[in-house]
Amino acid sequence: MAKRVRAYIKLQIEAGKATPAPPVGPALGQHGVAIMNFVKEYNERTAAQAGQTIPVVITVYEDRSFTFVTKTPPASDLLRRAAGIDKGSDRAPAVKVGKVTTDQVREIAELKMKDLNAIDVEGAMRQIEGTARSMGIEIAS
Amino acid sequence: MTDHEAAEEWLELSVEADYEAVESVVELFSRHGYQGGVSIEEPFTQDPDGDNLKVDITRPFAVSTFVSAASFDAALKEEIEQALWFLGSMRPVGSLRVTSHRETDWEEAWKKHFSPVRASDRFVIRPPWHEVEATPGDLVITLDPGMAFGTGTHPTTRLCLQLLESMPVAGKRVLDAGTGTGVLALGAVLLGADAVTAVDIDQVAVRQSGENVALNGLEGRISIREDDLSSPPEDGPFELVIANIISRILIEIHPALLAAMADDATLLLSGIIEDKEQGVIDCYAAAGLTRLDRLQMGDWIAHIWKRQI
Repeated sequence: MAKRVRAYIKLQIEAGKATPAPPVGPALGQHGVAIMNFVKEYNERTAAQAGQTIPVVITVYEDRSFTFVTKTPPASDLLRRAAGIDKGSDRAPAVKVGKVTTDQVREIAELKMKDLNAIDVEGAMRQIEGTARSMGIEIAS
Repeated sequence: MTDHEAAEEWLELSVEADYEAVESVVELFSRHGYQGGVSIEEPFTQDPDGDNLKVDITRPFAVSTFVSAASFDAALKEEIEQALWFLGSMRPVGSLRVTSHRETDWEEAWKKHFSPVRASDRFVIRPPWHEVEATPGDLVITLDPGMAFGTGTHPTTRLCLQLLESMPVAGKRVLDAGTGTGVLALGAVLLGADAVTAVDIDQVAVRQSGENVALNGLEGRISIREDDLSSPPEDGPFELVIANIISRILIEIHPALLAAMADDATLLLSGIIEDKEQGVIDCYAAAGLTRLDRLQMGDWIAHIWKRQI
């Protein structure tokens, strides 16, 4: 029998640099998690990836204990890098700010496959394409 | 690490979004939020006994980010709302909610769940608002953790207390580098250390450990200050040096720790996970130290080192 889960929280924060400041403090504090324990664990385990955003999924149990797993970088980060742009469009989909190829979308989908709720790479690609469109990034074949 | 003092009043910007819109909302929020940080509460289902935990993508996800109240205005709000409106034209996205929080809110929230804990064979840690029944031989530390590390619930702290208990601490001059709540400095004094110098680079920790020393009535035995050890402490050298930080920092500050050690001093290192251990061993061995002991709890490890004699 597993422990009952109280919350399932994903945080998008910079590797190796968590502090009790938002979003970490409020997201975990409201569920009674010892915030500094998380900060220390995340920083020790992600120190090698400093400079990248490493999403972390935290399972908080009813007894306030927690476990976490780190994930692949966000699709939007990977898309920005692939398109060579600093930020997405504020007026997507009307205003386009960059382009990626189908091959690049496939590459990102394969990298993120294990973190997406997709049944196959094609399904994952459709999700990545959706993210791209909403950032104002066109898909060129 | 004083970043979290950047603001006392925060605004939480939050929105509910369809699963497939989450990534785009996160991207938008990360552009505006403090240090690009975003949090997502994912809806889930589970059996009554906690088995079969599954993310439920049919329900909306709650995405939020934080900005300091001082940096937020009507123009920024409108800009974000407009961007959300565009995203909402593709996938369901709710409307922007802005709520105000004080930094003390989350500090108080988690503290409600901090209760007395036996951290090692002899050490018992209790918050000031909880009484404990100590058995003979127990050493009780009263601790208000605030936003500093070291409550006795984490393996790295427990390893240190366990090792301290088993070594000669009485009469020693001790340095606690990265003291956090001051828990290890307090532990050393309860074991009879002569005098303890506790340092931290984080003002929050310096303040909190000061309060904890006072809570335990040990002001005369522990001196605390903000110090990054860029130069050796003037009140050294020390016969026992303790550092419970993380591997990367233990490696980075090894010259400072070595400089603070008397010739026959003992060094207690903690905050090391298994896959970073070799790096720490290589660093301290190359600096001429010999490892005397190693203790592990889960995948956390603590070491005791001495200079080669």
